[in-house]
Amino acid sequence: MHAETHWRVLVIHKNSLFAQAVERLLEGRTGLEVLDTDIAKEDLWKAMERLRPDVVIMDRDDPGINVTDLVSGLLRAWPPVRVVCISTSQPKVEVFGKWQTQATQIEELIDVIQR
Amino acid sequence: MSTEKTTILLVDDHALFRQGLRKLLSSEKDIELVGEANDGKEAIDKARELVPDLVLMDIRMPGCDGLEATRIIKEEMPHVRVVMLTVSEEDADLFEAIRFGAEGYLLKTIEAQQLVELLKGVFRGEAAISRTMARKLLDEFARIAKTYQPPILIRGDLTPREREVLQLVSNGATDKEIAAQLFISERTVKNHLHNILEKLQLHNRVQAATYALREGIIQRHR
Repeated sequence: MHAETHWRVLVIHKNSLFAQAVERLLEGRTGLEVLDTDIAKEDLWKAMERLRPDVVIMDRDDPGINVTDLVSGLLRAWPPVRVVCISTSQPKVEVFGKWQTQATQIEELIDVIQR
Repeated sequence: MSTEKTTILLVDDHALFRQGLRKLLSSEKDIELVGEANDGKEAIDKARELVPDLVLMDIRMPGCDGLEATRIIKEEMPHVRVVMLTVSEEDADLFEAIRFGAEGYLLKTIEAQQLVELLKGVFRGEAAISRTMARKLLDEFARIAKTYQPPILIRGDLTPREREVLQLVSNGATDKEIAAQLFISERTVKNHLHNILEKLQLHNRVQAATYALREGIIQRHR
């Protein structure tokens, strides 16, 4: 763990129970700051510019977005960012960044995004 | 008001989702998450062991899915409430869950606080249904209502005398026996029977007797 590093986490799709649950799991963790903001999908790019998060968490089940395009767009525009895609239809959480990996438990997820 | 907590068994094959939901529900003083299960089979075992007040049940899970688990749990423990918590908006899943006795059907797009409120509502006799799914239920009821034919007969449609005749018919009495028992002519018996069949929209005395017994219009002969 890299407790000395401060990771700013932006959770979008707060209408998703899973996103809310993950957000709650991350709150109060050493080295992590969950940004207290509710971002609409269409405002994501402006929010990225303004908040400069290190981690973006989104719900893959949201039918209103093309996750593949969004993830590649975020990684291209903000190269250091980690994008976490959660989905209740898949048993693992996908993490995109310098490398692509997966996590099944919250400790594992935190470890992965802080690498 | 009772101070006992509502005990909940959480069933979902997604470990991280379970972790998160456990955390969300942990701040609720009225709710206690007493167990978790990874699939339908484990849900049934845990429900038998823990007998929770409510099972929060995912649908799509490997092996025994949430619908089958709901059917078995409700058959064995009808007092245990089951609320589906799923991403599935499919009509078939909704109707199957309701048919198997689920008290609710919630989508995972729900707000955490709303989830808690709806779960509490289940114990006040309220149905926990996401709006999208409630719409589907109403549409289905509307569809059924359009083709529904209310029964033509109501108990009061038959006169007391006709009911007496029907009772004797269902006991297997002939027209002659009915006439003798009721002190009326056979012709009158036939008239009564004709009227009975017309009112019930049936074709013969066997149908009339069967219908009358099934609908509770008359008593079974002892």
